[in-house]
Amino acid sequence: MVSFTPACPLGETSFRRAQADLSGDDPPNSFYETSFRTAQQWLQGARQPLVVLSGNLDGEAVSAAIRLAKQFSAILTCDEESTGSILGLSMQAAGLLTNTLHDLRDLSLVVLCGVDPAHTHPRLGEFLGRDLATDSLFLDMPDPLEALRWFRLAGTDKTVHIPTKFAEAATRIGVASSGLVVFGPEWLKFGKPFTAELLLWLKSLKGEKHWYGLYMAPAPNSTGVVETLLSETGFPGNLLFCQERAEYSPHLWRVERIIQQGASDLCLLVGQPGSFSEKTLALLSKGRTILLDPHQPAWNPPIWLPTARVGVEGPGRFQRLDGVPVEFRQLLQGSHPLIKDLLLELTHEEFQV
Amino acid sequence: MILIRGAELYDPAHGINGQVRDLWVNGERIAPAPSEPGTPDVIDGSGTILAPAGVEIHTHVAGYGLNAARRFLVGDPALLDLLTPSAETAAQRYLSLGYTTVFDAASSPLMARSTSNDLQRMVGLDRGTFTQLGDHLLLLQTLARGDMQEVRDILAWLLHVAGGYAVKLVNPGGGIAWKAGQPAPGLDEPIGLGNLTQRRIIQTLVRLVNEMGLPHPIHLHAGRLGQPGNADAFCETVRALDGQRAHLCHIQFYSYGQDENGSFTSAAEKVVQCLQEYPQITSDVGQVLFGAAMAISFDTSGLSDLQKATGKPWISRQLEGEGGTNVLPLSYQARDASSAIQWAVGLELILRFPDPSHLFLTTDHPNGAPFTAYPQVIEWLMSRPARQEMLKRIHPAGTRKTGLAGIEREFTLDEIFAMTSWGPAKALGLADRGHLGTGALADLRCYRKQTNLCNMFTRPEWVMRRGKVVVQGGQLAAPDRGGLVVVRPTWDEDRLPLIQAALADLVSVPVGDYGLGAAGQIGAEEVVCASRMY
Repeated sequence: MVSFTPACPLGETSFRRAQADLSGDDPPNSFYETSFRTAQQWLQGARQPLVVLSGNLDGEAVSAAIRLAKQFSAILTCDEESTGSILGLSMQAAGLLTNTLHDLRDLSLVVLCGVDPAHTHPRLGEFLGRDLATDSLFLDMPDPLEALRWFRLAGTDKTVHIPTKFAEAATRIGVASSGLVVFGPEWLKFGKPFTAELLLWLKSLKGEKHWYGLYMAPAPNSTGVVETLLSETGFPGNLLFCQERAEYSPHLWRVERIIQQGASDLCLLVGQPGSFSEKTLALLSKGRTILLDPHQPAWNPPIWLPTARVGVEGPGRFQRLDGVPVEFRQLLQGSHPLIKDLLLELTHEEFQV
Repeated sequence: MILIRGAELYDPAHGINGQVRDLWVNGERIAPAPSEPGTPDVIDGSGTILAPAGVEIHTHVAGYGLNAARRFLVGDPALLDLLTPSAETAAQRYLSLGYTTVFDAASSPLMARSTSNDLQRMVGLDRGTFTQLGDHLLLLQTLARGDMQEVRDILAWLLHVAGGYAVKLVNPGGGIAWKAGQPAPGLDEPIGLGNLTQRRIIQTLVRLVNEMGLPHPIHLHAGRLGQPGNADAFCETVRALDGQRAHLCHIQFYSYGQDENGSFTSAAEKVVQCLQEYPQITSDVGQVLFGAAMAISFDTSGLSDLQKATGKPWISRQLEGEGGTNVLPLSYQARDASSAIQWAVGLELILRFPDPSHLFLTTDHPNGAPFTAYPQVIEWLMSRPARQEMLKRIHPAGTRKTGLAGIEREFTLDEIFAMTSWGPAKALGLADRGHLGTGALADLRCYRKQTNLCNMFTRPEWVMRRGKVVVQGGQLAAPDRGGLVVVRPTWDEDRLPLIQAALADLVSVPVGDYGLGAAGQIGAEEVVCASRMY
């Protein structure tokens, strides 16, 4: 049996709730075991489980979650805030992600749209290196949609008077023979017109020159989660498994909608979700919710099972922004199981680590 | 021991053509009749046809290209399932069709872990992949410098770290030219690395691979894919091989003439005549069927041209230092002249080719059609009336601009098994399968005889893998793990640090993690390099 030290007041709350749910079984050997056994009972008894994947998961954890979702005829969705799956689809379908890291070395300008990869993606920041220091243009506009429209007009209609603050940036962009536009999810929170405007601007930039767009995925393995889902189910998430068949509906099986409509009686959060609304978190705190994550959550899930950190306490496979798989190795011996092992054990009668 | 009694046996490798005989299986392999039979398990084969299991030499069922294709198909689950099934499903469908050995057409070293992940999940089959090196910058830069020993070492090391079974070349140098904004290079035009040309890349690497004794020669996807009038360029590529051993894939897409309007015509006869001069060369057809398909290819310049011609959206995913894969949705329409010609050209090629153990049945799944269409293609090959009926239903260009209508040949069962079992096994250097000789693997397929050939080949009576029945009446038994097949070429260890240092300049992945890492394919069966069969 696993040895576990209760971590925090939140854990104690979880412990008490778990205890209350047990009725006359053998006394638990540890807090972790109790929480785990409750989670297992909840899962076995759920009529319509919901499994939610975050973008922090390694590939094997995603595979294990898919197997579990199939076994329990669950709804399987991604937390889109941390996987960016829909945007990823749009970008790739638009043919804009044709660059490689190698291609980026000789670009004449890097345009950073509200995101600095030196801070958010240190490896990419290191790779871009000199470009970021000397040949970058940082756009931190209060209204990015307005900025995009002026930039696009500046490129297509020379008769239009462009406000000075946009004109200077537009000129630098216009004279560059090649470049990279880096943007993150914060530039995409303005709804569909914004996404369309961004894609059109990138397309117009490409023209005869070498311009690339790079979407900074919001979580370390956003790409890998979606790729694993596509590879093993054919779909990027939003699935209902029913008798080994997968029904895909990007509109029907959206995570916050399911939770808020009460369409599921158990929510298994595989990895901490990116940014659920307060309303959703409140509902999750009251219902049967199990969170598997290495880090203590800032909210109050009924059951939180701490897990090993991939790349620190266990091995795992991630994928870079360009989809290249990268293997992480174990550096330290930890006391918690990997998520993939925990998911496997959740489907079994006995839990052994 | 298992005794399969009274089936009609087909074994092109040993000249057995429908004779009723008993076949003995001992453990995983075919055995001679024992002197004291004892009490074997008996399978009644009366009224059935027994043949070696199918061997797939060119299909796209693993790797990251499929995921790009799935992005186009998420809105049509039925089509997604047909064209880009998961690795597990693809393996099950191959087994259900009587295939027990399957080779994925291409994987690149950087994405080898993705391909390996899919291959690991294809349980129940023997499977492997070819390593695409046609745009590998380190390899081609070294080739341009002319250090042949270093090229050989790089080739061997890349094949190992990518977990590949053979070297694949896809329109070599075409991706490098495309990324530089250059048009697709011809055979003798520089690709952008000094004076290096496609001819030199092909000739040198084909020779090196043959000298290394790899079981399967270079698996070559030539240039000018799918363009009207490309047969001449294809034949020039064939001649550039100088009679060396090689495999040319999906040749239907290179067998086009061109009329005065620049439209497709058939050049199947010309291509067959050309290939017949080189018995060391094998090929597969890449048959097109009508309906939806999906172009999945490392041929960036080829698919870029196709994208411009069709105007359809595509996805091109390029990797640092080694080209990339591309996908483009396709649809072959029966009432479209070009599609009708492509359909007819594939069949014409097979029917004109005298030796079916040198030209194999593929659909280049899912580029021409899903592999599940093989039974339909077999019916057309074995039945002239079925072909004629089809010709009546499609665009008249299929009749007027190809020679298919005039061909009377109907394939025999023996020829079907030669082109789907013995021929591809031999081309892959897999001496232990594709035939019924003593000592061969007991990988077998058995069909209940019936007049509807398409039905017969769609649903084998049973399929045996390594002496165990894995499909019975269309139902799959719990499969075993199956095997991953790789080669283990050797290289000069003293030179490896220099190779790795050069690679470190081209890719941002730590060299120790490049491809599958130092161990190569995990859990793989080794195939000794000396098993070349001709």
